[in-house]
Amino acid sequence: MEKFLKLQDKSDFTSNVELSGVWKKRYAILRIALFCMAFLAALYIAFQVLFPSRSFDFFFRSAGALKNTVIDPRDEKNNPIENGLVKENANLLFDTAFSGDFSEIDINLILEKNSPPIQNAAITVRKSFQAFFYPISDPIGFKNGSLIKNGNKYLIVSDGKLREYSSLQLAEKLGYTDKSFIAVSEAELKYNEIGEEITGSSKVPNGTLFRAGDIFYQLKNQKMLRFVSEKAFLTQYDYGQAIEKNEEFLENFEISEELIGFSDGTLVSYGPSAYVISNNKRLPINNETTFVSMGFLWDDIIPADGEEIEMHEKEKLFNIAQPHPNGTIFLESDSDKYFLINNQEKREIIGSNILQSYLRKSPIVADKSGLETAETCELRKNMGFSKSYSCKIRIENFSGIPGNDYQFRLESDSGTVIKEIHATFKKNVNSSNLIFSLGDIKSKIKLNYGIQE
Amino acid sequence: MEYKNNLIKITYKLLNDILVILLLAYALLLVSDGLLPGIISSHLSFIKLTVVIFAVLGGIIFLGKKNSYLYSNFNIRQSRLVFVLITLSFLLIGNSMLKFSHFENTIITFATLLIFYYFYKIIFSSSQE
Repeated sequence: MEKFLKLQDKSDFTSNVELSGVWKKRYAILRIALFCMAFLAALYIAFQVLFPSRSFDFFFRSAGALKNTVIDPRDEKNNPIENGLVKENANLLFDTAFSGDFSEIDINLILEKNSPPIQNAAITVRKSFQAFFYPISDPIGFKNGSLIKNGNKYLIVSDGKLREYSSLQLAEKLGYTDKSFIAVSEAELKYNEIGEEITGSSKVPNGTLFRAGDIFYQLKNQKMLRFVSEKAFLTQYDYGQAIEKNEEFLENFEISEELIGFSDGTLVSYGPSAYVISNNKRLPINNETTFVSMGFLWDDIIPADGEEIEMHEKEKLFNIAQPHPNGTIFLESDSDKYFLINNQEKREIIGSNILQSYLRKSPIVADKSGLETAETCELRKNMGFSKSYSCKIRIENFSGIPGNDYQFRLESDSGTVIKEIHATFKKNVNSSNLIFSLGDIKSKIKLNYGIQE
Repeated sequence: MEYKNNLIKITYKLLNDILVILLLAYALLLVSDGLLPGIISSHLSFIKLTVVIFAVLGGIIFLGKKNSYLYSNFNIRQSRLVFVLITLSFLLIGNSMLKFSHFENTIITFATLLIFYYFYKIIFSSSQE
């Protein structure tokens, strides 16, 4: 003890303030306790850094507040849940979106004071991309403006319908050749409605593509719309689909002031910013994490110039909590099926030629297992007087599934009024998670300093 | 009375120990966050830590003045702590300058050295007086 007290004297930061007798020992003991607490605090911070948790919340009393990080609480019919009211035998759905893998989720629901208790309630969670959870709708046909042939039939897709040229000679008169048309199977023709035959007396069908010099046009409602650039044209169609014409020919048509830009789903850059095009508008992608977690590829980004970017009206920031926009194509990797996202529906693209009419960049790779793999837990009332219900869900099985969205479904026999939703994602404290975290930190440091792997 | 005095002394000494721990922790956390921005600041608020440090410092000053706890003269020029602080400052500043161009770094370095020189002159000219 004496040696220890001497050691303490040497390390005393306040030697000008002297203690004697039993007070010196008390100070020594309290100092040890303080250093132990500091060590534990350091361990706690290290734990938080190496095994981070992520929390997501929703407060129904302030549904529009920025602090709500749970996405879109709704019922089965996609109607928003107002004031936390979940009707009897109705389901509550909500999502959380982030990048990273975790081991378990702590779900906690707090009910309003006047709410009936939850009975026989279970929460199920699945992982994929938000848009990939959309319901499957009718398969989609060829894109507008596509030139296809089947046997002796030569067709163009005009206003979504298949219109057959009465003869190849008629198509050649317009400027096409046999090679302009892609040979397709009979099966691929059934996804477009049949339109009027194109005869010698017909007007030039809408959807026809033209090229005058370096400028590309498409006929729409019998008006010529100019593509803002060749780059924009090539995100929608192949070079050979446009008939070469001179300015004299174009004078036969009214030139619209409206321009055609990049196709929906295209990734473009302007300066340091990256955008995704949707409904002819540009959505700035807020950061790299969003870009990577959405399954986008850097090689797919097309640099745009001022005119090209300005023709797409700027919309709000595209962040990780939003679904993929219209025009996005998903590849369901375990079944090799392709889906086009349109108006909150997934439309399957059946047939390689139909796919080629839409696919101009890499599809987003998703997995069917994301829709089929689910984990469930039963909600149990927490001890105490508060109307709080919790359960834990283990999600280690989800680590190999592509996606940044976890979709939750609450199924309950009884109606209820929910005040708050809390979902906390946690990592297990084990060696593999530790090694992963350390590796992740090392990679991020190298990336921060531009050190190549 | 003696019990109360000793209690105040222990409180004062422990507050000083807490201050040293907090300052060391602050330096380490700052260096870590400098290496990888967000790794600490996403879990811990530096503002809250700063407020705690100032609160502890306030407690030390209050107890020190009330009980006339005096320090012996401290010669800053002979202290090794100054060397450590200057090295740490340059490392942190240097780390934050990596993303700037050479020209911008030259301007920043020159301006920083000038400011440090004038601070040095102000601090040590007043102590000499």
